[in-house]
Amino acid sequence: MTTPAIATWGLTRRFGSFTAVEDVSFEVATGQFFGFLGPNGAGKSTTIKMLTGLLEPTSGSIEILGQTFSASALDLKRQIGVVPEGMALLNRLTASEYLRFVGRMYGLDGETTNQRTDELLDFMQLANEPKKLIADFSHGMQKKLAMAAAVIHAPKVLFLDEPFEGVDAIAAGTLKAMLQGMIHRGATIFLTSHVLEIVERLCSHVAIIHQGRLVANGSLEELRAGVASTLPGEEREQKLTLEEIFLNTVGAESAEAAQELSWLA
Amino acid sequence: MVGVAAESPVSVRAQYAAVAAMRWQMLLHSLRTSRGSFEMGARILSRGFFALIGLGIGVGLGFGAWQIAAHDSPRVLAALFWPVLIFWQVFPITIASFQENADLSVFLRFPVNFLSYALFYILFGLFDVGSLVGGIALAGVWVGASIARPDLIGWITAAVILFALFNIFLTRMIFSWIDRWLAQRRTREILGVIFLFLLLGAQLLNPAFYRHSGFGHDFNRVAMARRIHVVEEAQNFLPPGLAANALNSAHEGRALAAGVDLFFLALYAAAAGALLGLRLDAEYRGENLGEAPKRTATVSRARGRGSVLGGSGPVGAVVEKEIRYLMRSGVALYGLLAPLIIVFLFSNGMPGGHGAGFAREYALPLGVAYSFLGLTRFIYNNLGGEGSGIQLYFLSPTPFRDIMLGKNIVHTALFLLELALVSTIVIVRAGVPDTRVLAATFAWLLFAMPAQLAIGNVLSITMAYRMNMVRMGREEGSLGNSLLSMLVQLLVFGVGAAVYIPLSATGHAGLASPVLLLLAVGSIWFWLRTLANAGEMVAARKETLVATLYKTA
Repeated sequence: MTTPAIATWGLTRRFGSFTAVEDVSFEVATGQFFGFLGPNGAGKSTTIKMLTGLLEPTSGSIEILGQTFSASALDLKRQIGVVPEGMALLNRLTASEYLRFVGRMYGLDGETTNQRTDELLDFMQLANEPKKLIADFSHGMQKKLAMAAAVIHAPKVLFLDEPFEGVDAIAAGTLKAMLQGMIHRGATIFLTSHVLEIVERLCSHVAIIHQGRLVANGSLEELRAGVASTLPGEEREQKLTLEEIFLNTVGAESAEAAQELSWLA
Repeated sequence: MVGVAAESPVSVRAQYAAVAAMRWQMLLHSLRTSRGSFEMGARILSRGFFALIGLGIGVGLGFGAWQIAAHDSPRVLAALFWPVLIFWQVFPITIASFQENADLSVFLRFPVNFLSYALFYILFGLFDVGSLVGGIALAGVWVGASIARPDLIGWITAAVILFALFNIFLTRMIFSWIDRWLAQRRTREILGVIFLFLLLGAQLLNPAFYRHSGFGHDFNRVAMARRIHVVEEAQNFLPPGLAANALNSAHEGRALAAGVDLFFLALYAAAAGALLGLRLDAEYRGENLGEAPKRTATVSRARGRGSVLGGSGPVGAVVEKEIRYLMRSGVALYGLLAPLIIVFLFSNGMPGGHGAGFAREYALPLGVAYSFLGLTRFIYNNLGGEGSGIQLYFLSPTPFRDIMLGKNIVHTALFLLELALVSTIVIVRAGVPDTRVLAATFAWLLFAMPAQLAIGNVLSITMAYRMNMVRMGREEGSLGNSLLSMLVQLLVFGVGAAVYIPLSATGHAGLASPVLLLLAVGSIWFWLRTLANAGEMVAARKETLVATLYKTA
């Protein structure tokens, strides 16, 4: 039996009396492109923070590549890459300085760091303004740089929190190609995104979290079949998009509520 | 209903009320946490402390003003206005790194008009320590002079108000322009050169400067008298002189002359206000106080350019990153430069006068202790500049011990550099101290540096606050850390004094060094413990640190 790349059991996180994530259990197989969806405030970022060791669970357990943070945090961190919610950039460095810094923090030798830095800057089209500080980068450029930093040490598991937010279509295409290349070479990717078309195109498996609880989990086909079975006769025959699956799973009350804001132009 | 916001004029009064309510709500919310309550306590304590100082100065100046006015010589009031001006302007700059500084750019996203924005800037500035103490001191002058000469109360009130306005505008103007100049490399360099010239220029006022000129004592006295006369004449045209002259003219019944003096005083205030307005206008229009992005027409990539400390691993990476951050922050460089300026100015003329022996003996230890001040913000809040980058430290496989060690190495190196410069200045100007003082100072340093680094590491983790690398003042929510860091520095200095002074008084000054060396062993052990426990301490506060350094932007 193969060890899953990511596995959680009864993952729960409470902030005072508020429960952000409750009893979440799932597995992500090695080499899988896994989409983790949910409406705003559903608990996606909290879950990804717990999976990457940025946040301690209140209860439950996590294994990444068969290891736990409590037992082997440093070894585990070497094997994962993360684009967190805040991108974790150091704003007063240049892109190249930042990547070299990250490379060394992950224990890469100088030559490898320099070589990968140059390649990544080229690939992300960030090499043209070597003296520009990250603080002066556009949001999209910062996202690309955060992505470059997340992969510079060639991680086996990559966690991406909204990686395509603010990234232009050309860059998004480049990033998607890079991520698919990583999957082909055996990496595992855990992705959260609000851009459902991208998730549908990239991910083979999807989980949906709503109000802190996991409400769907499986391959796209399994989710499609699950939702279709709840629909009336004719609609059952149509091929549902991920957006339809998502809306059916978490509900679409907010769209109706917007109709009531009659004072808006 | 569409377009309501565009059609109704925005009420300025409503905006002020909203800001006041927002500040009040923030204050109440801040009290929900123990950290917030501590901050509030620190704020009350520091404001109370400075208000008491202001009160003391105010009473003293009030008495002086009463004496001067009662003896019919209001012109001499300039002698009181000058110290107020100097304190009001110089003190806030010297303690900039200990003061909170509200970031008003947050208001720019709202339809706030320029005058409101400027008023917010000025109003927030009134809570600065300089304005608090200066304002109370000036109120003392007003009370003293008014009691002595109730017939001149109108003139006194006008002169004091205009002088206060000038000071308020000037201090805010200086802060805003220094922020601007320090924000970019070119202006930073120009400012550095200006400082250098000012320092050299200050020497022309120093009697010690002439001591090797070969002229006799009488010449110096004559020359000094001449110089004082020139200075006296010149100050008549400056705000303190104008305020005093206005009152003198009013006292002599020359209302027109008094009015002219007040008019010129008002002109000074207006000029300071206009220069402040220029700066605020640029900020209001959305100026970004960061390093301006440089357009590069041709691609000139630094391919294969390795790190400065290439191959030295994570600790080297942290060291290099810290140095790069420092070199790009004019505010940080200014913080390091300020103690040098103060030591330079205050060691002025030390070799002469009655205090020569004391000065030669203790100038070095005092200077050395003072030079720690330039590093306070960095040592006691060493994660403050990371912003969202703090997450990288948690994500990377580098133990937090190594990150703290890298930061401590940089801060120690900076301190040694500062120490070398301060020692050179002090020794050149005050002479070499006694060997026992020198040895005790060195031993104290071995105790003080690790002690400060250790406590700095603990406070950096437990009381971190987000640091703005392009603004002079401290950020809101940093007073608790500031107060504690000051107390620690006083304590560390006090330990040195408590060891040396009794031993010296009993004729055993030579014993001070071994005692301090023993203490140094303890402080080094303590520092190593904080490094070893850094990971554990950080793990327990991970979420708070991320929330403080990244989310509360």
